[in-house]
Parts: sequence; structure tokens; C-alpha cells
Amino acid sequence: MNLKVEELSKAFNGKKAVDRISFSMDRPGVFGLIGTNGAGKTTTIRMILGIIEKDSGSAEWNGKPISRETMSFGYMPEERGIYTKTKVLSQLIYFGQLRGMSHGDAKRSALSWMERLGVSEYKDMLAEKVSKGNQQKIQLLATLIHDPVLVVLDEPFSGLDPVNTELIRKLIGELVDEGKYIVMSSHQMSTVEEFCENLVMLHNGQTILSGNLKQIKAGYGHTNLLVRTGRDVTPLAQECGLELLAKRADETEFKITGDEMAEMFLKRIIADGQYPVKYEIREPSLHEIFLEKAGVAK
Amino acid sequence: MKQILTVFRFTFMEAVRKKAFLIITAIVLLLIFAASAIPAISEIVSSPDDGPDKSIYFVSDTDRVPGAKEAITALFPEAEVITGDILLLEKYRDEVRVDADKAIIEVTETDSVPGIRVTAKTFMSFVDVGLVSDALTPIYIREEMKKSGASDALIELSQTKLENEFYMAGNMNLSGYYIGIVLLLIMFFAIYYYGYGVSMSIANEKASRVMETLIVSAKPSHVLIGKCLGMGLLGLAQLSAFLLAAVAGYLLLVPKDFTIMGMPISLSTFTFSSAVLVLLYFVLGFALYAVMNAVCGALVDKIEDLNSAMMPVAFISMISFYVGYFTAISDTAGIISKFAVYVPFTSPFVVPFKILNSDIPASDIAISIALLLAAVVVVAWFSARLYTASVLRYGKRLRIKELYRKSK
Repeated sequence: MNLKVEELSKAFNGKKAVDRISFSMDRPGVFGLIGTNGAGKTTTIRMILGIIEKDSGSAEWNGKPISRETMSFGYMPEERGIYTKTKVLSQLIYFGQLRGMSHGDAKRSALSWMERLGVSEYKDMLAEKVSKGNQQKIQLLATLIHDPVLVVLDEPFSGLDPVNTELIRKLIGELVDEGKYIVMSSHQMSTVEEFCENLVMLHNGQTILSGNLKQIKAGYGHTNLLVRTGRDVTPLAQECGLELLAKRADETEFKITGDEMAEMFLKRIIADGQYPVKYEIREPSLHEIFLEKAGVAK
Repeated sequence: MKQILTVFRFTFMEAVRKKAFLIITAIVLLLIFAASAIPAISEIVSSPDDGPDKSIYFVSDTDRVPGAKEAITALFPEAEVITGDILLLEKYRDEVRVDADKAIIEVTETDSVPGIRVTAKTFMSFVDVGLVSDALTPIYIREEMKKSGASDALIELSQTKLENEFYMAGNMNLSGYYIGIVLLLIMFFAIYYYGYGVSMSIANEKASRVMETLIVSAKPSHVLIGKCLGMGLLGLAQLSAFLLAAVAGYLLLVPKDFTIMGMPISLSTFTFSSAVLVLLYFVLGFALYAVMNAVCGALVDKIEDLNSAMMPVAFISMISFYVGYFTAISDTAGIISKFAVYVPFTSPFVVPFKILNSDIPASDIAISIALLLAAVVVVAWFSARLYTASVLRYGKRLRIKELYRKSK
């Protein structure tokens, strides 16, 4: 099974919302669509799923165009919406039936998923009576009730409290283990970094970066140095040509040109009679890469 | 088809479960039973033992119509006829001005000829000046002929009335007329109330953002049709409950000899075929307006914008209703009435009345239904495209021109 998106484009009133985006997924996992608000993530998703007409390009699942009639996909939109005046179980059954399930199957699946996400106690309550976090879980259940192979999650963690965030994190991991293909959009880079092996980075509708996350980061090399010492080492760093990136309560982060610079700085600190508690050389975060790329794109 | 049925069932069940629906249905059913009981209650309240509840002041300054008071008493048995004083006429007029159950009949002489004047609160008084004149004029003529020495045979001849009879060539009767008007009102109510339900339901889905989840699960056209069917069945079920209550109220509570303007209530105008045709017009008429209302619901982001979006459809339905109403009460054979039979927007309001009053040939019904059916199909197809183009559109509302372009 594979998902292949090629050269998808869409313009609104002459303005390009998405310009020739391409990516593919050849095995189960999480694919990341990242970018700021208005970057074109939701438009891309809507084009892939056939909710809106694309101007050009194609989105195929196993070589066939994707549509609600040709394949089983689940989609959780960014703008959450459920029937507030309807009982939770009733609307889950309704969504299941719309996706071709029988009433019995939809009910069984809904109850099973509710159990899994810990919302069984709300099954006979009106949706408006349950908390926002639980409403989000119900929305996710509506996405997964028919056991789709391709799952598209638009900003799945937005508005969730830490407990529910952890629950959804765990669930996404389980879905991948079950063989699901997940396309996840987010503007929270740390989230994408945690889940996605591959990604596309969008800015104003343009693809500014795409590929395997590890390879992207490796391409940047070791650029960051985290240091925790007893005394402030910033003056020493400046002497050695390191650029201060961030000064936090318990550590300081510098930009380095490579491992040699880090080695030289370590010798200088030790020569100064200090022994660092933490001395970590690392690749740039996705957030930093994005800022750099988006800055270039501007 | 399965999706349409799923949306239809969900829409119907959700609407039926709503407290507001159940409360309104219960209240209207109670009102229907209460209305059915009114004739019986009014008979009890105004039983003959209580004596007359109306009064007529009879004032006369002439003896040229002898026995006038007795003739008026016979003419209005429900009223007490009081011989009044001509000097108190102003006082009587003050009473009549505020009381519809009182009237004054003056028989006064002017230029040696007696004349009749009736004074009542409104023109809808229980005293009809024509009836009074019909009763008193023969008395005056008889007396004048007697005075002039006419023979008894001649006097008798002058009192003779020609035999008269009214023959109605058509089948219209008072019951058909009133039932037709009631059906017209029900049609308008259904189109407005349940059509509003369709647009409100869709606007709610859009405002609450369920729409995006919904349309990845089902084809927009299936959602549209399922919703219209669901609300349509809801309307039919509720109206059927009201009609059954009305029939039960009529059979159980309305006195058997009850009449309206002297004519008994009759359901004879309702044959099987006329009932089927009326139902067909109800269903098609509702469908035509419901799909247009659905587009109105899909156009708005916020519920508070719904009324302004629905204005064009409300305007069309309002005009069509008035065309139906005025052609029913005043112009059943006029050019507008004939034209309205064929126009799909007006025919659901116009034709059921004509069917109940046998005022329309079968060929006109066939053409009218064919045009209405075609209009439902075309408008539904076009509405489905507009609906698809607008359900995911948020922000500035699409203009008709843009909507048309996007629907292509």
C-alpha cells in the first residue's frame, strides 16, 4: 500500500494557496505536514481527500485517485465539530453508518474505541455536556470508528491538556503499530519531530523543505552546543567565536560551526578550571530549521 | 442510497427527540381538541333556557306598517325586540356603538313614505337590513292596497313571491372552500416551518463545524437529499397527527347538527384521488422549497445570518402563498389563477384548493404536476451543486454570481 501525492496545486482568487506539493508514503508510519498558520496544510489535506477540487496534480492511494467512494480513510479536521445536542454514542454510530458500517458494527466499534480512550461513561450524554478534551476524543473516535487504513489528522494536539495529549500520543503510536498510514499536520515542530520520519515543510503554499527528518538534520551537521557549568561561560564562548543562542535557567545554548569548535571550547573551559555538568553537541531542532528556511523563503 | 437513508433517519430521529418539537406538538393537539369542543361548549353556554342573548330596539313613528314589531320578532327569534322611544335614540346608539349584540331598527316616515334604517356596531351585524326590508315591505304594500280598496285577490297576488332556487353547476361547497383555505395555510406553514428546519439544521452543522466531518463521510448531495427527506417526513408526521386529532375532535366533540353559515360540515370533497393529489402537491411543494432552503443554510457561517440568507426563498414562498390565497377567495377563474396552476412555485398553493372544489380539469393537473416534478429535479440538482460549493466556505458569504461560477 502506498500514498502518492504529486504536484498538487491550488489557488484561491488568483493567489497560490499550495504550489506543486509532492510526497509519498510507502509503509505505515506518520508523515508530517508542517508550517505556520496559513501555510497551506489544510488545503493540501482537503485536496488529497477530494474535499476540494485541485487545480492540478494528483493524490493516489495504491495508484488510484483518493475519494470517499474509492477508499476507507479517516479525517479529523482542525476545526473540531460534533453534534452538541446529540448523544455521544448516537452520533458515533451515525458517522460509522455513513462510512458504510451496519448499525450493529458501528455500535460495537464505537463502544470499543470509547473504552480504549476512556470515554465510555459519556456514551449516553449529550455531547455538549462533556468537557472540551473529551469532545476532541469523540471527534477522533468519529475519525477512526470505521477502522480506516489512511488516517489524516489536522493539528491533532491543538487545544489538548497534557493528560489528553499523552493519551493521543500513545494512541498514534498504537495506530502505527497496527499498520496505519497517518498524515499529520501541525505547526508544533516538537510534535512532528517526535512522530514523523518524513515530512514536508510548507511556507506560504511553497514547499521549503521535504524528505527524511534524520537525513535533513544530518545534513545540517552538529550546529548546537548545550553547556551547564558552575559559572557563566559566555565570555569564554565569545573568545572562542561561539554565538550565543539562548540563556536558560540551568543551561546555555551556543551555535557552533562543527565538532572542532566544540572540542576547542571544551578545552578552554577546562583550562579555566571549570568542569561542565552537561556538554551536549547536537543537530539543530526542526523549529530552528523551520525558522531558518522560512526566513530564507521570506 | 444507503447514505441518504442514514442521513434521513438521523435527521428525522434527532428532530423528533427534541423537546421543543414534542412540546409544540402536544400544545397544538390540545388546541385542536379545544377548538373542536367550542361548538358544543357554546351550545351549552347559550342554551334556550337562558333566553335571548341579543336585543333590538324597535323605534317607529308611523302606523303605516302595522305588525312590524311582530314581524321583526319572528325574523330574529334569538333577539329580544324592545319597543324604543324615538327621543332616546342617541342613548340607544351609544349602546349599539359598543355592543355587537344590540341593534336599532327604525321605521320612520319621510315624505309620506315609510323607510327603514338599521343601526349596528359593524357591517357584520346579526341584523341584515335587506332581510328587514323583505319582511316589512309586503306589510306596507298590503296595508296601502287595503286602503286604496284593492280586492283581496289582488292583495293576495301582491304578496306572492316567485318560487326560486339556486342551482350550483360546479361541485364547490362551503366545506370544500374552507378546507381548501385551511390546506393552503397548512402548505405555507409546512414550507415555512419545516423548510426553516432544513436550513437551520444545515446552518447548525456548518456553524458547529460538523460539516467537514460529515462531507468526508457522505456525498454532499446525499446529505442534502437525506436532510430534506427527514424534515419532510417530520412535517408529514406532525401534520398527520394534527389532522387525525382534528378528525377525532370532529367525530367526538363537534355536535352532529353543527353548521357554518347554515351549511353542515362535510368531508365529501375528500375522495381518495383528491387526497392523493393533495398529498403529492404537499410533498413536491415542500421538496422544491426545502432544497432551496438547504442552500440558504449552507451559505451562512453563523446562525444569526440565516434569516437574511433565507430572505429570497421566503419572498418567493410568500408571494406564491398570496397568489394562492387571493385566487382562492376572489379569482378562481382569472388569468393569474390559470397561470399560477403551471408555475411550480405557486402550483402547490393554488392547485389543492382547485382540486377540492373541482375547479380544474385533469389535463391541467397533469401538466402542473409534470412541471412541478421537473422543477424539483432541476432545482434539487442545482441546489446540490450550490450546496457542495458553499458548505466548506467560511467568511464572506458568496454572491449568487460567484456561487453559480463555483457550482459549475
